[in-house]
Amino acid sequence: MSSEYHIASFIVLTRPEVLQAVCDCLRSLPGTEVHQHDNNGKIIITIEGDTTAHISQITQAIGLLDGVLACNMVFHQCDNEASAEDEAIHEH
Amino acid sequence: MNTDRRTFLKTQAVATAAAAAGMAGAQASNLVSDRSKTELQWNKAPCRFCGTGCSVNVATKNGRVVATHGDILSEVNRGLSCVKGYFLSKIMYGNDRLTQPLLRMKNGQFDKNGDFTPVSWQQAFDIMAQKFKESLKAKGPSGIGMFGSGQWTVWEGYAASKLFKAGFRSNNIEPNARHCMASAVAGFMRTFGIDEPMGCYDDIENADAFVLWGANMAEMHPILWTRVTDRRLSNPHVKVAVLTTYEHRCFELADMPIVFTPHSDLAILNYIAHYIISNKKVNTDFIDKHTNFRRGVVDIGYGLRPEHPLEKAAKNAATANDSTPMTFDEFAKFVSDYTAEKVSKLSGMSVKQLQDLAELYADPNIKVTSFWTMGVNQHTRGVWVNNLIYNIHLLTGKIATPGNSPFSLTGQPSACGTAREVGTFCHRLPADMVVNNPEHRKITETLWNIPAGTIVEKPGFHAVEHNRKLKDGVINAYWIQVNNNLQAAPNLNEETLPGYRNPANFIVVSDAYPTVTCQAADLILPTAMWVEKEGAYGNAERRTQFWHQLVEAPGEAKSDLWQLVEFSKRFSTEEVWPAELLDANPAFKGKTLYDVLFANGVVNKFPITDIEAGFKNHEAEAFGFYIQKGLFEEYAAFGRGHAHDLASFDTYHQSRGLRWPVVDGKETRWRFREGSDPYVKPGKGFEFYGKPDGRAVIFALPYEPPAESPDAEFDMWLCTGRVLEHWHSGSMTQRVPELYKSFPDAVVYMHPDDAEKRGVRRGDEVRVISRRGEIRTRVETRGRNKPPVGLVYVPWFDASQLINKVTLDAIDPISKQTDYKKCAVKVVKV
Repeated sequence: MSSEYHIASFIVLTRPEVLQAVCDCLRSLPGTEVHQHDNNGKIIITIEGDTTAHISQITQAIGLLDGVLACNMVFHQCDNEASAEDEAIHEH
Repeated sequence: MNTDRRTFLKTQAVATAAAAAGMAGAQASNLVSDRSKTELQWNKAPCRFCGTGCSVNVATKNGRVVATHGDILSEVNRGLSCVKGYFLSKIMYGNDRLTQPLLRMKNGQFDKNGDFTPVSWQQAFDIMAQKFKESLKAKGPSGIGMFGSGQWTVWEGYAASKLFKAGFRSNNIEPNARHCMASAVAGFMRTFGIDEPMGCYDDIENADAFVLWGANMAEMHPILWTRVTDRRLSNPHVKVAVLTTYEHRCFELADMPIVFTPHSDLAILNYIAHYIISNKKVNTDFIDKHTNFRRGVVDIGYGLRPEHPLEKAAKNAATANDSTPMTFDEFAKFVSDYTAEKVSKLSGMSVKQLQDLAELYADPNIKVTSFWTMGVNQHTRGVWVNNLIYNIHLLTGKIATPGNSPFSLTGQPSACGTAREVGTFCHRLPADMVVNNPEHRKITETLWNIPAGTIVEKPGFHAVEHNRKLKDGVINAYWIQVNNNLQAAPNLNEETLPGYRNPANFIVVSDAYPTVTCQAADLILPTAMWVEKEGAYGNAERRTQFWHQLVEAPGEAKSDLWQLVEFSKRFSTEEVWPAELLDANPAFKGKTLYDVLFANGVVNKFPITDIEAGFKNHEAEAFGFYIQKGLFEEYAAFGRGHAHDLASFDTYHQSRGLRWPVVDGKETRWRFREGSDPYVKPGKGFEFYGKPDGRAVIFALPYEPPAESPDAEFDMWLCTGRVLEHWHSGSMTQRVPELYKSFPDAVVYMHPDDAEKRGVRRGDEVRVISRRGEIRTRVETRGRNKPPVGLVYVPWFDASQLINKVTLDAIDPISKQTDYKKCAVKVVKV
């Protein structure tokens, strides 16, 4: 499955007072990037990986982090490394 | 893949999330690039899991569903998707999907002890019709039964109810919503005289405080919880109180995290009423104009078998739903018994916690939304708790206005739309009507165009009774659709399995996968699911949503609708209706039930050409008319003009759902309030028109103890429920590898001190034992659920750990709903 590339974006909600700590924690997870956050505790992240299982494992870990109130997916796309053509988004 | 491409995808992913989050810098993003647009077909459908009713976009390619994502146009989920919704596209493609009928056979014949053998639909219906006819002949209509679900589409539930109540003249039909929402229904009917919430999800963005009464929304309704979280984070004055019997993920957000002793919610709610009255915070104008006070019957038992000592001891089991009028002063005196000190002792809450909670309701400047689900409904006094929650909203007039909302959430995708609105319970008819009301039977018989006297007056057996009657050999032919009834049934080893394997009984199970219920059956019918058929669901905020058939079902799998309607062809009126009825109505002689119920000039009114271009419809092709439209329009006639108005069939295929009553094309967001609800008469302000005098009822109902509490031997409470990753019995989600791997096996959540006391550690194998049965599982002392000392939590999704062998079949005597949240167990090291 190493020829697959998955990318997904999520909205993570956390309490503003622990926002920085949660962001640090998120950054330490494999394939996870923090892109944007607001002052109310809303964070936008992406997770990259080569399987959907990787993405769902990270998602579950995030959901159970101290201070995380909610973690929901918005976008997911799977691309085939071998193909430069567009492939189905959200495909799994 | 080159870096540019990855950067491009990432930018798109972030922009889409920012748009859904309403964050600055976001721009509307085209999710699908041009090339993939030509390869993928995108259509809308409501999610197939919980009662939230999220809309998802479903992508199909080469006849398969390949992807789903949250629908940005949906008012419910606004582009978001929880983990179950994200994996929706995989639920139809488990390796062990059932694709042909299977009958237990030996030597080429049906044999209850034979092995499952593939048969044709013809053979399957032959033996099934034979068994149903034998039972009808021997026992009459009460000798057969059906157990359906809040996962039936609207027209499937309607067709099933009509087939049983009109066709077979049997009221022994129940939905699994009996285990889920029956207490909510009875609560609504007693207080308001009409079912379902007056508010809608828009309450979330208007409330100043949220109180969760036994609902783990973070895991069970994650998208609604996200909206609550968003409201709380964006508005610091907002307070969230979470009441529960064990700590769970909602505590992360809670301003008032409260763990109370099981069953003491009855006392807590009466204390709040007492607090409101004694602090002079009653909205007297509101209660004078819009409410009545009544005293409910007490000592009503626990719905166990009549010979059980608890039932013999109960004085008023037979009249549990009765009540008598009382005055406000008498009510005030009644609740004054529930002092802070007394309730603190009973509930384990501090006096300060009780006061702070009560003040949320009492303060006229705080708009309060109360949410509840199974913690309240699966309760031997669940109807009472529903009534008591309405009490405190009515005393303060905090109801039917944006943000002021007592809001009963639902578990299943169409618990409201199908199970409740269609009337698939053993006592109900469409639009809140009941079989034991002669006027309601008359209306139904007229709309169904069947002879007067066809519908039987006596309600059928309720869900838990079905199991008892199967065991006792009273019901002999039984059909289960869209649910895993054996895994879901309380006390299943003593009460349910014996009935399925009773040699006198023939059990049919329609399902997409071989569940434990299938394994205990005699005939398995392979079933088309979700977007393999055209469907409609109704969610918890009265929103009706439609979808088209998007793919073909595998092999010979057929929808529940096709199965029900095709089966009706096997019965003539002479075989199922008494001679007197036919002699008085000779026009019905020589017809099949299919002719009478479905080819009746109404259901078969709409031609196949009415189907929207580009969509297949297996059932319409099979029967030669647009059967879903015909069934829907016949059904909608029950509610139009009677406060249950649905829009036209075609409207729903174009919209993201509408909240009924839909009058003059407009949906209703808040019922019972003038200006918002067209059924409220001008000048009334509020009108609870479900009751003849337009007044809602405030009930005096006491604390009574649970059916079973921990004692010296069985020293812990057992609470059962769900986890985020799995829905209900896991029959679908356990087949999605990612969901299975993320939570493969059930565990027993317990307090570390309780573990230590029993000499066990995290990961150790233990037995969870009650007076009725036991399971083996492993100890979990960390993680998402943190029970207090003396309580354990076990999820029920795992077919290899059937926790319902342990639970008690005690029910609420009014709603007949099982209490899965309370029984006494011991936990022993293996």
